[in-house]
Amino acid sequence: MTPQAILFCILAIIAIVAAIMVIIQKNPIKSILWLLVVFFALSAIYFSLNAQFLAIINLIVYAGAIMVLFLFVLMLINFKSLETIQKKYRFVFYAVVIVCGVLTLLMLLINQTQSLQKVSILNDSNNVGLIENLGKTLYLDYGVPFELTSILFLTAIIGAVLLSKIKKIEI
Amino acid sequence: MTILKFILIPIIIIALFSIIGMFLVYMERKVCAFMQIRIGPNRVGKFGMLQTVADTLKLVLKENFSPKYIDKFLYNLAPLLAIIIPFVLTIPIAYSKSWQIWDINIGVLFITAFSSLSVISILIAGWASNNKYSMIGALRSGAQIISYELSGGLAILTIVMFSQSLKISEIIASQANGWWIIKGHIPVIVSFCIYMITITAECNRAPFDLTEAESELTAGFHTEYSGMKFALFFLAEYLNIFILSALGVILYLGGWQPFHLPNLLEFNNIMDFIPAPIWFFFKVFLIIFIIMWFRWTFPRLRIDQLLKLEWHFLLPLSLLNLIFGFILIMLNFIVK
Amino acid sequence: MIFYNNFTYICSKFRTQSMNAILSTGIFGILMLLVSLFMKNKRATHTLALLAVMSIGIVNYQEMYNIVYVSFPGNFFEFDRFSLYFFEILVALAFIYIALNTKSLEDMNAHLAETYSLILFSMCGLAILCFYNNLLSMFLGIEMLSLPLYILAALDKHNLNCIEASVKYFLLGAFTTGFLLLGIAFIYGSNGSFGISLDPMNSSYSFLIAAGLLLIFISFAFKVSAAPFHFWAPDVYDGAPTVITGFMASISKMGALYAFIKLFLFQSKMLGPTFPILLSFLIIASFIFGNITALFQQSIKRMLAYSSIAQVGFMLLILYLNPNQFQEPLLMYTMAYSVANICIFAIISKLPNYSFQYFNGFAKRQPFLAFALSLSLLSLAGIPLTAGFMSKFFVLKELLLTHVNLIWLAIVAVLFSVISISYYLKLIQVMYFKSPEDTTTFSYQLNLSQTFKYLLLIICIIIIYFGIFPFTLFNFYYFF
Repeated sequence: MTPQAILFCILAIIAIVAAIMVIIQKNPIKSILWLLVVFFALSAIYFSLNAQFLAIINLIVYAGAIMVLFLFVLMLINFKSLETIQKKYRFVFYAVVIVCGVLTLLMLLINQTQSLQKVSILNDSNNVGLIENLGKTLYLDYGVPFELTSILFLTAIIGAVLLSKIKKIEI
Repeated sequence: MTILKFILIPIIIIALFSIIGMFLVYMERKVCAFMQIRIGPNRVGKFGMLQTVADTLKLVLKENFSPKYIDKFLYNLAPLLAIIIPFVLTIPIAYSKSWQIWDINIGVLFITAFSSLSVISILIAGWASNNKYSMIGALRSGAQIISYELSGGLAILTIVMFSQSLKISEIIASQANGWWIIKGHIPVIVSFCIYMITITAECNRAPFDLTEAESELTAGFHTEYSGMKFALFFLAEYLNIFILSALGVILYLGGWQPFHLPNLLEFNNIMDFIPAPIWFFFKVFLIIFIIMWFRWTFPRLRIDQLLKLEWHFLLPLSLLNLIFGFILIMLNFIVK
Repeated sequence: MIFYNNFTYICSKFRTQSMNAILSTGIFGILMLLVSLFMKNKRATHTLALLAVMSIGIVNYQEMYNIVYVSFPGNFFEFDRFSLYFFEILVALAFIYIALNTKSLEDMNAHLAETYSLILFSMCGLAILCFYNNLLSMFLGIEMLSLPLYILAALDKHNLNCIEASVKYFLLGAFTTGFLLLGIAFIYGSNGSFGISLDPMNSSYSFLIAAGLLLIFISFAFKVSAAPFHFWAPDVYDGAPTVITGFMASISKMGALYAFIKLFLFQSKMLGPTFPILLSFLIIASFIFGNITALFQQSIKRMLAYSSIAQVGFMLLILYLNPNQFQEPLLMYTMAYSVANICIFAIISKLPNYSFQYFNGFAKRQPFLAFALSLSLLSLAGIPLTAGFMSKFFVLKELLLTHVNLIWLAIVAVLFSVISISYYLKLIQVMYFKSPEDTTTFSYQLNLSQTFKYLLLIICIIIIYFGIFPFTLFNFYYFF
């Protein structure tokens, strides 16, 4: 195994373990902190793939903004009352069986897919994830969808303003 | 050689940061005394130089008291997280032409990303100590840092647009014939002002120190911390100021480059004689001095005033500023 | 200079595409927002919204004759004749919807111009879904269609039912979006592109593509609320403001259905021989859950929600057809189903109460409303001489022409639509043959404008006209 592969394995295991911890934590705040660990591990994987911009954007958007807002909101809510709710574990066994089955199936499928085995992004060029190439792809090849996304964001902004506005104004 | 690097660089950074931290505490007290026409610390050592050393010794020897109903793990984790962030942030900072750990392709974004993470440690500290003062302080800090990040990021983007790169070394190289602040483009000057306000807010310094407003919140998010854990928060705050000021120097004041005047060869030669790191630290401490000046000049804002300042004034201004700068670049009205 | 170079680069790489409809919907949505700053007159806002929809229709119509205002390079959209015609019909339906519901939209206690702009943004999503040629633009279209709907569902924010409906819709919608993205990621991983022509000849027959398509299938089944992914529909239809339910149940649903058909009619080969079995499972489940549950509902809105699930079962039969013969049934179904639903929801949004008791003797109080309501219900049930009958007839005819061995499915469909008649007729019976139990319900005066009644009359004429002369709907598509 190359050092890069070992690094990937370590980071992937961290990410998976942290993701499992997100689910089994009872305290929502701790869940979010574990989710942060997942994002850090993913960012580290991006770094190791030389996709620096993606890694940093992942940190800014998820760890820096969304997770902080989650923490913020959860701290404002008194969720102590939530902890007393008894969780029912009736379906957990079936869920685990189904998920493991689907996962195994997927692994087998991905292993069989020949087109995937041929693809190797990393070894071709070392600057695939750098910001210049990303910018070129985003603004030249995918320019139209990129611009159309702005309407999506505008909708989200209008929604946030409409739903959180308290005082009613005519029209 | 690489192993030596792996050992040496952390040691140098830790040593540098502890010296800077102690010096900044001393400097704060002296500047404060100067502003208030007092003498300041003057007993321990010459001019009270060893005052912070004594303070640190006191903090180390103090009992590590922690309250009963807290989340033990997170309570202890928060100060460590707080102190780690400045160490990560120092990675792309160029102290001199070759004194740079990793000249990462997107250095400026790297610093913005990791400096925004400092709020997480504050939120954890506020929540884990199970105290209403801490909680309110932490929430205020969250709102404040998230808001001010926006205009701070836009201010940085202005310079990125002018220097056409996100790489620290290239941004510094773009100022070889004059610092951005001296070239005097209006968008750059506006964005410098915005950047100064923003870093003051992001480091929770007065007049934006609502997280630890003593009169209302006892000590804000670190009310329940004592001894060395408190010292770590304290140190992290000063180191954050140092790093963000260093970024300000890199963006606006030419990084490690000496001060040059056009057409004055002799003067420029004398300036070149002074080593680059000294220039760098001189400029950084100049900016830190301005931030300390803010602290002892302006009264503290209320939380609604603070958020209004950002959302109603700074954010629209920095957006307009960015567009203005873009127009200037498109029309080639800039000094390359 | 650098901009010029980039532009020539894109132009050399892709053929240019006109985007009249997509752009105009987006621009008019933004225009509504801006205008609301200066214009406080509600009547003018309604007029502006109607004008906006009308001009979208005109611009889209011009595109059919290659009159193009703005064009962009790229291969994200495909503007074939049928898609253009289908979108034209959706725009016409949206025009009827807005014209009919101006008063109800005004009474919703929300900001009117913003509501209209959200509806227009949702139509922008519909436009993208009609024209997409790429998994990326398909994803964008679905998100743009549903995000405004989540917001619109919560517009009456002092009503807890509304909030519940919106949150439920949003959470489940976000969850299925996850499925959609994972599916797209699988296809991208095995194909290396976002294109939707997953021809088995070109790329090696891949299980990964099948897995991806299956995930996309699930998320689409959710969006059109086919059983067993229908659980959100009754709660959301019931909780959301009735005007908004009218939009969700008619126009946006048909747009999502067309996107569904467009992807799976051509690509179902990739799912292998099990696809017809999977589809028949979905269809029969929709029939059973929709029809049987609708029989026992006490609220009209919930009854209609379940009946719409049953209708989706019928619509999904179109997925069995060949690519060259799905157009007629789809057009007919869109027209009949949407018009009837718009009419029903427009009428009941005027009423204070949605229980069956309220409708006791409704015909004596409001004879014309009762007539329009019963005509629409009959159309949904598929009684001959209404558009609804023709839509079901076309679906079954084309199905039996293509797959004779699917006659059992056709028989099941007919049987279940017989069951459906019973609950539609129940409402009509209540309206015409029952006398009101208490007189308190009379005290509520419906203030109906004359325009509303004329528009209802036009809708009734449409329903009957297409029930008798269905081919006029296709004539334009075929001959002009």
